[in-house]
Amino acid sequence: MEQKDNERVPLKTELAFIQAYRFLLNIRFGNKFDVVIDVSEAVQQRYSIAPLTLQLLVENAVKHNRMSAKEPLQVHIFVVGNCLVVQNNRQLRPQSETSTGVGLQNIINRYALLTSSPVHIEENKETFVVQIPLI
Amino acid sequence: MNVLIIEDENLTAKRLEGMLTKYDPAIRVLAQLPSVADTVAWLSQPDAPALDLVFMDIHLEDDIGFRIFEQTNLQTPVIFTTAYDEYMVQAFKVNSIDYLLKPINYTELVAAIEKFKALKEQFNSGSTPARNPDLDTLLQLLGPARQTAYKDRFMITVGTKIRSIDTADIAYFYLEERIVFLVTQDNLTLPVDYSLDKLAQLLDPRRFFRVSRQFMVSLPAIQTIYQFSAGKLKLDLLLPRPHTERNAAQVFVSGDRMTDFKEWLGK
Repeated sequence: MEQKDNERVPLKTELAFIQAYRFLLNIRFGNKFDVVIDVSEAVQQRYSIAPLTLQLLVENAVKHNRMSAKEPLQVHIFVVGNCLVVQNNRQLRPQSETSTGVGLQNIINRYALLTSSPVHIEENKETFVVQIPLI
Repeated sequence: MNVLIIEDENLTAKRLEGMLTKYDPAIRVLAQLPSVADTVAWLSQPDAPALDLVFMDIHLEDDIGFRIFEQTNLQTPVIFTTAYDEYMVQAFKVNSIDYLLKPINYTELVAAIEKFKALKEQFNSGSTPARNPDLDTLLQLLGPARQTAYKDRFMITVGTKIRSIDTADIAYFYLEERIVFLVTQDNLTLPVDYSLDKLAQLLDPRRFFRVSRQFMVSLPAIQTIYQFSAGKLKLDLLLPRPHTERNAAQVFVSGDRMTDFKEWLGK
C-alpha cells in the first residue's frame, strides 16, 4: 500500500484491511488474540482516516503485551463522538527494551497535518486507549 | 531422542514437529510449551522426563525465552528457532547449538540437528578429541613447514645426457658470469639452473652456507680457515685435486657474513 503522509483513506477501506489483518492474526494466535470492530456502516462511509493508523495500533498491542489462552489480548475499535477509539487490555511484557514510541509519534504527526483536533492517548494499569479524530 | 518444543504459535510448533518426524520418526516431542511460565513449571517437575534437545522460540506468550535460563537450571542443548535475529548474541551465552530464523528451512534444521549429534558424541567420548581437523589445518597454514625435504639430488642436462648428482657429493657452488656452477668432490663442475639465493632455500642450511656473493660452500668441504685480514677469513676447500686455473678463485668469507659463518660452524 503506497500512501503519502498527507493522504487519507475512507474509514471503510481501512477497516476492511484490518479485518484481513485480523484474519491472519487469528491464524497465528488463535484464541489468544482478537480484534473487535464496532463501527456503524454510516460512520464507515462518512469519514476518512490516515492510512495504516489502525494497523500500526493493532501491531503495537501485539508487540508490547502478553497473550495466552488464559489471558487473551483484545483490541476493541469503536466510535465515541467524532473520534475513533482503539482500546486494548493491558498485559505488558516485562521486556528490558523499552518502546521508543516512534510509531505513536508518527500517528500524532500525521494527524497534525490533517486536522486541528489532536490524537489522545490514555493509559492506566488495565487499559491503553488511543482516540483518533475522524476526518 | 526426547525433544521439547517451546513455541507460542501453535501452527509453527506443528510445522516443526512435522519436520522432525520427517527427519527421524523416532524423535519424541515430549511437550509443546507456549510460555516461560509453562516451561519453568514443566522443567521443575520432580519427575521431569529426560531431555536430549530443546527447540526454543524466543518471543513467547509471556516473556522472552532467555528468562527460562534465569529461572531454571536448563543444561540441555538448545536450538533457537525465532523470527528475530537480534537475540543471536545472547544465544551464545547459554547452551545454544544453533540459531534458526523462521520460517524454518528443513535443510537448515537437519544441519542443526547433525551439529548437535556431532557435538554430543565429542563430549561423550570423555576426553578431548585426539585430532581436531580444523586446528591441524590451521597450524599447517600458519606454522613453518615442519618436514622440509631438502634437495638431495640435482638433475643436470649435459648435452643429450642427464646427470644425477647427489647433493652429498657437492663440495660447493659458485657464481661466475651470472651462471651458478656446482663443484663435486671429484672436482666435476656442472652448471645448475638455480640462483644462489634459490639454492639457499632448497638446501639443508646445516650443510651449506653462503659465505659470499659468489660462493656457497658445504661444511665437509672446508679444510682450512685462515684469518686473512681483520674481518676477513679465507677458506681452503678440501678437494682431491687442486683447483684448475679457472675456479682457483679464492674463497673468502665476507665481513658481513662472518658472525653467521662462525655460528654456522659452531653447529
